[in-house]
Amino acid sequence: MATIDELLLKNSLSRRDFARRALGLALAAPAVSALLAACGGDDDDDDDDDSGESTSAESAQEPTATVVISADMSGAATQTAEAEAGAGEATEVPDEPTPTTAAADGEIKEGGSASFIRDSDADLYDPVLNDSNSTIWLVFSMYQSLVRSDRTATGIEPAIAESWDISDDGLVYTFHLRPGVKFADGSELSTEDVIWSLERARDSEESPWSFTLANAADITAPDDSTIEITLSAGDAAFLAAVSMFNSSIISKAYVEENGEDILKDHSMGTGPFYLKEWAVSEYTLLARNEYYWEEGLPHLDEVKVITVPDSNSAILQLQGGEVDGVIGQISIPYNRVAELQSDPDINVILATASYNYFARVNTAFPEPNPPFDDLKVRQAMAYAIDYDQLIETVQFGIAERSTTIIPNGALYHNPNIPPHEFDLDKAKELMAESEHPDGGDAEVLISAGNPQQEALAIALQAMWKEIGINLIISPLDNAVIRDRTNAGDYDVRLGGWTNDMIDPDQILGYFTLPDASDYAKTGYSNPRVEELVRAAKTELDPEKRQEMYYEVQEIYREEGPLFYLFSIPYIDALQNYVKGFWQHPLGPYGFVDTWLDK
Amino acid sequence: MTRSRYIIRRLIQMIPVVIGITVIIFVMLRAIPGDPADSMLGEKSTNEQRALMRKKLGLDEPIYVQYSYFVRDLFTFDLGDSLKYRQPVNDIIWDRLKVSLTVVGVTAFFLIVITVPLGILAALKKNSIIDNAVRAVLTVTMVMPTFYSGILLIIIFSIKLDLLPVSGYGDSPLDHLKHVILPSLTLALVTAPYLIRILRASILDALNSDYVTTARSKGLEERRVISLHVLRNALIPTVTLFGITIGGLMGGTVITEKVFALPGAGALLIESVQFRDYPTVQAATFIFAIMVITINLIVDIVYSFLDPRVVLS
Repeated sequence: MATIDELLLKNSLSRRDFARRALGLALAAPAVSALLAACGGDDDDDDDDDSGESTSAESAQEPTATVVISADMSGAATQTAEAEAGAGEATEVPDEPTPTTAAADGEIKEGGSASFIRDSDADLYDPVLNDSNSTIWLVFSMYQSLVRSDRTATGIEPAIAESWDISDDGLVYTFHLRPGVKFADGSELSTEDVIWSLERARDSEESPWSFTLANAADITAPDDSTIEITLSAGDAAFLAAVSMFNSSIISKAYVEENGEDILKDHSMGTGPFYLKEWAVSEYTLLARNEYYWEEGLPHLDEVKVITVPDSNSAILQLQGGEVDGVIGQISIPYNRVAELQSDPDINVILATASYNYFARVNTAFPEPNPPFDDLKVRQAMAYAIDYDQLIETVQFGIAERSTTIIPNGALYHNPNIPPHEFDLDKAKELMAESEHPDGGDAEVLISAGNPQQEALAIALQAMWKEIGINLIISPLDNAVIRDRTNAGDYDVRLGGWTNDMIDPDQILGYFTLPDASDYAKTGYSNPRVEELVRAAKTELDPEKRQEMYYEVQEIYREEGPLFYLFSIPYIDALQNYVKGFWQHPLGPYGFVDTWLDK
Repeated sequence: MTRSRYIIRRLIQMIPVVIGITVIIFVMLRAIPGDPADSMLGEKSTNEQRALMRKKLGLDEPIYVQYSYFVRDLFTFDLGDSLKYRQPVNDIIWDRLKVSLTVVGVTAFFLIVITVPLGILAALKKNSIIDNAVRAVLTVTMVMPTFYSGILLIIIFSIKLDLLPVSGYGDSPLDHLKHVILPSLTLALVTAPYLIRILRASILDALNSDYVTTARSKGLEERRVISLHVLRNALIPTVTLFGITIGGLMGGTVITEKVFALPGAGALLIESVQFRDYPTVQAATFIFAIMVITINLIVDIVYSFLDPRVVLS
């Protein structure tokens, strides 16, 4: 079955289709299946019955790694599969074909300045020191690393290095630098810049990300166009680590001349843009890097990213034509999406994201936390959740089911695991079999004033009440939540995750190992899972890794401390004349391909 | 006692207040759960890593030692580095404060322009259509939350009429002014009703007083009676409330800042408290405290002109 993620990835789901599906959802209770019913092709017709099962004739349609994610830009974009689950019948609504970026090659309009609103500002733009999505997602417009992840976030492709070799033992990586790559000031990139940047990223004590390169024991340049990195231990996630933002290559000469602090609010990388001006809490102004190596890119002269924390104000400005788009992780509330989708001047992109949303229970951190240390109780709780209803009421239909710890569509995500069932009888049965048949109190810590978490907590409270779990909702300030989580003083937490690297080693290392985060403060440890995750990190055969990660996901899904709630797309609302914009599943914005058709 | 001695006495009285405020802020920040190490390292950290960070930040020292460092730094005007933004607190706060002060200044202007004529008019034409209309309209704007009235103003003045920018702070001084007009108007609309009501009531009060009857009976023309006797006395409670309102606006405009995407000090303070960015919170509250006290002082001085008796007592 094609999932929305896949369809968006393939460009075969236009926003109108999504709108119709969302509408279908709003009309019909069991309709989430309709969300999953996406399918299609230009000619497609097949109607979906209300079971929502649908063909996916196109699954193989666009196998290339670098498809444009945004829906309306795509040529392959039209598809008409329609599911009106409520009525139990399907209608056929042909979509007008839209030109692709590729097809429009000859007519791309160069130049101009685009402005986008998002809800929060960056902290600081140093690629090594920053630690927030709002920063990272822009850093990729200013900097590049030796390699980069492809647009589906499932593979690695060349960037500053045009090719690379890996020794048979997997310990020596040799990168061949692309000739003629220049920084934004016109100076040529050298091996010295690469060595300096990677060593700084690895050795920085202030960076929260230095662990990603910890294995890179020795970084040398055998000649002017080659970088050789020798690892201290096999690391299958190493290329993924090298593609991350903290591995950005920075001009050494620029930093030596101006001091390291300059990187907080200036940039000197080889990305398509450079940081021209940052007015903290107001806007970030990116200007075109005249020396960018990818021919014909970027199209825009300037990109202004404005911070507007209030979503009403942001949407008003979009509708009033003051800005070209509203982008970001939570800039547009879910309950406003349908309204924007029905606006003929606005193009809403629901971009495939590695945004996985869980409820997490404290099973044993720092000590066993009854009744949640009892597997039967956790399984009962999982069966007691009416997931489809949550998607409808909390997410206003803007989500699909999350199935495992690795985000849907991400590298090594196990597609064979079906979404968890909602079965209240089974939940009650499991509860009766457990050591705590009467249930008990559970305190959930939620971020005060966060409507998504509030709605979710209230819904879960009603659902878990059925099996005797009394959910106590504590809205708190984030610092208090962190403090209490770090101390293990909680029962349930709600929260999302977005991958920062394409390899699952990051999320699994975080949740399933004690090293960095005490099993992400849940106390749930499983020797088999630990063994597999550690082995997979050094296993170089992708097939064997896949096998290991599939097993980890199965065990963790059956026994683990997480309830998988949503897989949420990134929502970007753009004026129709904004073309070529895309958002990477890890979050970075594709300003490099963006142009304005006006 | 002369006026200058009065002012000096009020200045000296400020000192213990400022010390008290810094102590309270310092202790309260550390008493609430969550600390900068938690925020900086998040949950992707072990207890050991956070303990190390606390040590690095000096948070493992006794609180009075930490306080003594804070006071020492205050005297050298070095407020430390923000833990969130990793830049000197001084730079961050002054940038934000400029925005807030501009908003407060323009709001004060709007408040005076709205309050004085409407208050006088409503009082002099008591129970007329004008009086009732003023009171009815103001009741509405008074209860309207700023996130709502702000959006309404944006729709009218920015989107429909296209006269003023929607949000942000702009690039040049004139641009800044344009950007703060709507936020200031939003704030003025919420706060003006209280001032108008109190001005109207005090004018009515003064109109019924003996000194006004005397003034009238000795044949003064009505305009002079109003401006010299009525207004001067009626302004005293209004000025008090005006001072309190302006003081409150210093750090209390967070919602309006959010709606108009203004990089003001109120939002900075909230962000910093949430991050437990101790240096920034301490510095910001310290500066706010000084400003609020200064405004009170100015109010007191204005008082002494309006009512010379306060100097003598």
